[in-house]
Amino acid sequence: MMDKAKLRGADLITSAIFFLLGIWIVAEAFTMPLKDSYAGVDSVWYVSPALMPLIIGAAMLLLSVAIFVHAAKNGGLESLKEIWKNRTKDGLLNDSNIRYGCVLVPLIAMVYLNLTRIDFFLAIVLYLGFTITVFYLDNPTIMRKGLYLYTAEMSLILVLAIFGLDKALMGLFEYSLDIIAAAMIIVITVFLRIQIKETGNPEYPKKFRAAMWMTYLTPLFIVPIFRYMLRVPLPREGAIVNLMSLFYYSIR
Amino acid sequence: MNILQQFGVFFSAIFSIVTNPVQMLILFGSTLLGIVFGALPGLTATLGVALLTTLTYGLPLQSAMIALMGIYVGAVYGGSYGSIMINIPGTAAAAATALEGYPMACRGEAGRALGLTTTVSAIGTFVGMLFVVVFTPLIAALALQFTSFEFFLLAFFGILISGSISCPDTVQKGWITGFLGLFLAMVGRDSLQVYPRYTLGIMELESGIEIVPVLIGAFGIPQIIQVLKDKHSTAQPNKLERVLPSWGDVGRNLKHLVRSALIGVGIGAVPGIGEDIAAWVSYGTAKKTSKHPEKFGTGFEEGIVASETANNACIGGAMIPLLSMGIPGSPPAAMLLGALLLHGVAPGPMLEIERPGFTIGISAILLLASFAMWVVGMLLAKQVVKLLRVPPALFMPVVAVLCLIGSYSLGLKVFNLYLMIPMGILTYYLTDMGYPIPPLVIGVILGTMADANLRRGLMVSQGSIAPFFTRPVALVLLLVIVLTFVTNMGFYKNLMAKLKKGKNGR
Repeated sequence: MMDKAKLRGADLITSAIFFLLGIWIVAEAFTMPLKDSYAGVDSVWYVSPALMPLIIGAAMLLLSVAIFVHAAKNGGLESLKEIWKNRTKDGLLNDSNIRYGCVLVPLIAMVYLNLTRIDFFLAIVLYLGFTITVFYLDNPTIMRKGLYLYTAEMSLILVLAIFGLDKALMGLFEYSLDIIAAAMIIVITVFLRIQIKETGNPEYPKKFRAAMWMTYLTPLFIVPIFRYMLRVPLPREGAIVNLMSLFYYSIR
Repeated sequence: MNILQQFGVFFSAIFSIVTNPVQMLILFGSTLLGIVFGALPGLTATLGVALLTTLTYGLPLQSAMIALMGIYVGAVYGGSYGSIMINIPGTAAAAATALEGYPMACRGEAGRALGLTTTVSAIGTFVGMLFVVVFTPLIAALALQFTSFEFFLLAFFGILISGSISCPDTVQKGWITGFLGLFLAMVGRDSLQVYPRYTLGIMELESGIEIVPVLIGAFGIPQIIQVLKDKHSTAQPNKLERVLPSWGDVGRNLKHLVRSALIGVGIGAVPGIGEDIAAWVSYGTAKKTSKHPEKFGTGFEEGIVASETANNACIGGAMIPLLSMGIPGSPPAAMLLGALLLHGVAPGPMLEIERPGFTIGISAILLLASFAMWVVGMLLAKQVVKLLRVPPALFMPVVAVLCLIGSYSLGLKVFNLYLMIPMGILTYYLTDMGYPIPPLVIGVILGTMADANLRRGLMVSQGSIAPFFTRPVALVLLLVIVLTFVTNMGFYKNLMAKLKKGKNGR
């Protein structure tokens, strides 16, 4: 939890957001059938689907006002001014935010971009290879440069998705996106290896090897467990998963 | 079922598990996995139960319950390893243990501390199990008398009490997250008129928000963000000699053990309040009532007995409202509820009618899990301690992958993942700003019940709210809600402070 001095300033913002949410909930509830007929059934207020949302909305409005008043009375405004004043001091791309970005960018990219487009095995390797390595090495420079490269790679997939080129490429060759993903994995691995060499830290190559072991062993266990033991069809079964299936069904 | 029949069901459940090698393997395996999960800082009992829920989906119900109870019991106990050996609690429930366990380990008594922890945790789980056996049928029988009005008030009370107790900051924050959870439960077509509410025109939202992905998002993702975002240095564990049961210490602290177990069960039975609060309350009580309060914090076994007995006894306590009313007593119990629903079991007052002997079966599993925990704890402590050297950066991303594939595999819907990530980011920020997550989860779980029961009750009474005041149980619940609300208000606290001041001044 953040410290109390900052907390009251943040409370002002969160209570305002909750207040707006409360208004939206109530406003939406008033568009629901209250006393009139819906789907041929005459409604009364106490059977209305709006009843509970109205209670929730009203409670949220009252509670958000209470949080706002409490925050304002306990130095929230001063704290907010302080937060606003300090906002540019460290810059947006400070080490802390880069670290945060290293957690979120790969996670968001995997869920919203990669899982449905790239072979599941490769999508996991792409995610783990980057995340485990940068956090295990815990070097701010490598983390920063790695994140820039990873974001650039994911931007490429985003562009392909926005313009529908992913489907066009897959129409040409089923595994074309898997090939692109594999190329991305190679690029990021080589890049991280070069960065490690440049630092000259004798611990890093060992850590990098451990990270790579984890990266490749994890999907080697997860894919067979979910695909062949639990019989869960994976979000996208591309080149590697199909190869694994070929191997599995040929020895079975 | 009379008492003899219940004994019969209890022992036949134990016999059927003990004589089944596969189930015994699942029991010991999941308990060991739970201990590892609890021991590794960053992994929690809730996360363990969440991940295993997805893996045990295809198993028969009894095997799945053995695995889930095993990991739950193991993880709550496993948190003490980090507390004692490296002064970093593996789970929040073991934070109080670090105050006494680590100084003991520094004195070269790590084995004694772990032995004591293992034994009192097993006893705590056992006491919790006894309460499940005795109280679940009683409360379920009482709940059978409930009408829609009582169920609505019960859901409301659950959110209010969970918000009041689990909130680290002002109580209004706890309540507002409870209402946020209730709101999330409103999304989708309503159960009476099938009217789409807050679906924003998104087809996938029409069937509502699925509970398990929300739970994994609310508990798993913030944990992953937090652990990776914060810098963690891997500590070198203290030297561990032989782990012995410490029966002598247990005997000397019998009074504290019984009191802590009762505190654990009591707190566990309160909706949404977890093992961490049970451990702290018990530790605080032990310190207050001890003949040697000055020894607390220096490696005093009374402190270990208090926190470790309470957090494991809390498991049984949390199972009581879950099985009797369908209201989870703790965050891992909320995950268990999700798992039960996936297996087609609807916990609540009808449970024993629909599935006779289910509660007794769960009690038998709890007993065996506490035994398995004790055996694994005694035999494999040294090996588990070695795992404390593994840095979170190596396993947290793997946990993230397991959360995603687990969430997806339950309904084979990628949309669940699309919901899970914003849910996780939202709860991460809410936690950071002092908004507790258990009330939100309780709200999501109980929202549908509150909504349907309120409207159903009003339909029966033709719109009259008189039953809230004329039905005895409803009136008691209403009074408790009002009392909870009033006692947490600023004006009441000021008034009490003034009265106390006046009393002292006189």
